[in-house]
Amino acid sequence: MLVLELVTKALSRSKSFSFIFILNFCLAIASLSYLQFFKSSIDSSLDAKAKSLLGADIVISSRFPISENQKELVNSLLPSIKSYDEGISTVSMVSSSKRARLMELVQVNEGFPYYGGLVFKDKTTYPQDLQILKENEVWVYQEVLDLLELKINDTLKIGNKEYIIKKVIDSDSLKNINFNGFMPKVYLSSQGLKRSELLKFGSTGRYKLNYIFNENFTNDELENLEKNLEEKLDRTLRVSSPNDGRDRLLRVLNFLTNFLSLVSLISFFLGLVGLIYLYSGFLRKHQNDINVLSDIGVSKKNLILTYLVHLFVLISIATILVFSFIALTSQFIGPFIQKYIEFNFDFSLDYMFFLKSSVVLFALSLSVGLPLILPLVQKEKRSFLNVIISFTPFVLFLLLLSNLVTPSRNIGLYFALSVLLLIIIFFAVGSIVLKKLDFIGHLDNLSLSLALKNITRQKRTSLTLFTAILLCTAFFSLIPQVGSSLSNALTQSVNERPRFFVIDAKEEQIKDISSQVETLGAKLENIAPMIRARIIKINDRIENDEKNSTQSTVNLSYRTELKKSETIVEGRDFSGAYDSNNFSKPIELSVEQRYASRKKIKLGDTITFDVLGLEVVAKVVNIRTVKWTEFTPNFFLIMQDKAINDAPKTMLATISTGNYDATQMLLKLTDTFPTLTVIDVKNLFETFATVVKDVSAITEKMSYYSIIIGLLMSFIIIQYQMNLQKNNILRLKMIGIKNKTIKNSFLLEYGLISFVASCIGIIIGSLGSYLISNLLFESYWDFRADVLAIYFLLIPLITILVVSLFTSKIIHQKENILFGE
Amino acid sequence: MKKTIIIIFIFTLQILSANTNSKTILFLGDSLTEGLGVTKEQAYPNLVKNLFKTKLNKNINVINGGVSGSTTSDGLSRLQWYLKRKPDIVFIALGANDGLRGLNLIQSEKNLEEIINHALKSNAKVLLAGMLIPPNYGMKYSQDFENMYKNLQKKYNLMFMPFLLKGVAGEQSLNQADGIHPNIKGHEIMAKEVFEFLKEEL
Repeated sequence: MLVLELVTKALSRSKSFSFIFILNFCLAIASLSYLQFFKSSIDSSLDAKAKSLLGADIVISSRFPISENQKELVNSLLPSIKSYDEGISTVSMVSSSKRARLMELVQVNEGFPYYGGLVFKDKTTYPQDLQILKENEVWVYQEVLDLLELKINDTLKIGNKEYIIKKVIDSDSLKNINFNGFMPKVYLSSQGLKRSELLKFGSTGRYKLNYIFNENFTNDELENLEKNLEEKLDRTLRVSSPNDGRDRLLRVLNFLTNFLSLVSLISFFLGLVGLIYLYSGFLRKHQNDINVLSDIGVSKKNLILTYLVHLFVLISIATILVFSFIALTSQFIGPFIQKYIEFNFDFSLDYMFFLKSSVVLFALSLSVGLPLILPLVQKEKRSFLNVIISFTPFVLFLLLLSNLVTPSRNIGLYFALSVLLLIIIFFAVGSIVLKKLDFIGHLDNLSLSLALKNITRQKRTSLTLFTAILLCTAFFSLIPQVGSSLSNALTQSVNERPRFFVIDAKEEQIKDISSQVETLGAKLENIAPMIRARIIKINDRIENDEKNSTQSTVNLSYRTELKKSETIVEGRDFSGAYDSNNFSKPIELSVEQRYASRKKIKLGDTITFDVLGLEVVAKVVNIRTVKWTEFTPNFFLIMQDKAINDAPKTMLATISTGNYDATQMLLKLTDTFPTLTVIDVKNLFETFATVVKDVSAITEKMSYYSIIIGLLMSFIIIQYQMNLQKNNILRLKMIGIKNKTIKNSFLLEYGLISFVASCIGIIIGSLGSYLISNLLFESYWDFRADVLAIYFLLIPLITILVVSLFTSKIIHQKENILFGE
Repeated sequence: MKKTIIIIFIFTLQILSANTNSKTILFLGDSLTEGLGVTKEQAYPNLVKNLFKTKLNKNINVINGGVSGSTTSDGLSRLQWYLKRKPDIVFIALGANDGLRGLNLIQSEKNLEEIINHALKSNAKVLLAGMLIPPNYGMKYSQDFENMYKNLQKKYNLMFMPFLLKGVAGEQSLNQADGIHPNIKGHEIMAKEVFEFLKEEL
């Protein structure tokens, strides 16, 4: 009871502190909570989206008809089944009177897919609105009409039978984001497929068993079921769960959520700096209260408990306020964001999220509260080592939290470690520098002299403010630069992204294909030779043994130099063209980094290839990375020019996007060069581009929010610091120093701290953004001088403005009011 | 003693002559020939070599010129590369990928013709292995595809094996999970068929 009484008193006696503390903490966790909430909304939306990509809870597929025995075995391994569907898809030549093209025929049954479905051009949907097709009817993708030069209600021929095109599909939830999804689809009923008489002995097809269960399993539970089934079923049966599709989407979004998480961490860190600063100030201010309470017999345990509960109450109030706000606004935000980015986000409230966050915040108040409270209650001067030990749980907690909020392994951890290291370095170096400066004697300029003395004598305050402003500016310069680098990389890739992939071209055809493409208003780009080979040996390690010979087959290419999107991480560039006629000297080889680590290939290794029967030896001269944003043909292994140019090869190329008639391009090319395979990758990239573009737009706005929070936080600290300076101002006034001199001294003090912190912060932020862009996000670094200039001027200016306002207010107060305080 | 020496001498001569006359067969094909999903040793060209040794006691050299994904369009350039090894027999087993990709068969036939002409010019004996396209590709396309090989066989009067995957295609137990590529057992059956076809020539 005593503890609660003391807590109530502490709260009621320091209303302004409580208000500032709660406001500060609200802002800190609001950004983290909102971003985490947003992230979990993306996660749950992806879960739903992944289910509609699969259409069912679990799908068993096979290249062969699935036997009754196999079906029985599958059923015995599954939980209670709500509904079940047998689907078939196959490829076939589909023709009109003008031309024939290879297309995918998909049998669609009543009620399937269980999740998602088809939306047609006339806005009707299946399975919600429409009945199943008649046996002589089909639903088709728009590409089918384009390729066969048909329109709705025309007929097309599958096998020997004619079918009427009843509907044109606008969107298809089952359309996968992968290269298998490029073939135009024709949907027909099971009767329709039988009618075609295409499926008989020897036919190739994919047979599917689609299941939906009575119990509502999470995607992770379904993935476990998938693994369990895979272990027990024979290898001709392939099991898929929604996470297979989700993983593809997640990979696409991973870099954005990484960035999002870093932004939320930044806001949180800024908030914590404020929190620690404010609470330690509060405790120091109440040192006398603690002493009195201790003297009148209140036990140390009760005192510690009092301040811990006090801190916990403050944090709880802030948490409840923020969570209530999220709960209220999520209902408004949901529809707004959905309308804004056209992605079906699920903004329903996840109470587990709130529960988890509350536990985290409780742990936080305990881990940060104890090291702040203990020394004051124990009235002992603690050794530096003890201080470090006491803060260790808090630091570990922060590192753990940072690691958990970022989806990619270790990104958050590295980030938090770097911030921690920076803080340690600045406090260590700052203490030494300030100690040295303390020996400066009197200066003629009294204001400057006072300012310098204030800075050097109140080391802790100066360093805290310096570090806070430095971290703010560092983050301010880091967020837009990383954001802009990411967005540039994406926009660039959107513009440079090819519309078509051309494969199987002959070397001598390239010139004609190129001119044909140009005539139609586009460009043939990224032309790359592809040569098949096998790795025989890596140094003395035989690769072509029985166990791994299937994996030793590789595609080689050759080039004079590496592309802009490729960076050498180890080694050197090619020395030029290969100049030996009889392969007497090794060919220079460039290896992609991940492939090299997978195959344990190192710089300087000698690799022996079998290039279609001819042995050639190559030496690794560099290990390179390839940017993920490149959507062009790329090779793990590239040889120097003129070495294997004579080997049999096929050519790969891409056709740029542009304002040309894509259907005509496809038709002309395949008509003129019948052996070419031209893949339209528009749909594949469009899905990617829309999701990425929309989420990156939100990320950008979230970054601004974070910056605003950071700014507010810095000024809360400055304001609080100025309040603590009231006694100083009074003392100076009492010894007759002019108001102007006092004001100038404060302006100089805060101006200097702010200016130096901003300069260093901007440099560190830029370096950080370079590292994050290049190393973690594998993206181009975009140096934003304009943004840096704004922050460079803005932060010291606003600091001076805020300090000027506060000093004027305090200076012009009467002495008795200042005394009263 | 004299008799024994003469027998040994004749025997040695036979072995020597057998080794120096060993023929080289180039198998120009795609993933079916390369042995996708099995090792190169388990692929049918190597098994054919083993059968010649075990059944006929003949040593032959085999070049496995199979490349996964290969179509008739890149066959010619690959043939030119392999002709450096001067094969005695060129066993052409190409075209499956043209069919599976629904390519224009007139062009595929032209490509095969170029390959045959080039191989014949090099004085190699040309043997042709035909393929069948699965029935789901449509009756007309399947028929055209089958006829493409028949036309070429007739035109060049080639030794012709009508279906490389005879007895293997469509049999689950003889194919890998993809239903297209033969497994080890499938390759053994292919090898037997190819061996029976080739042994007349050798």
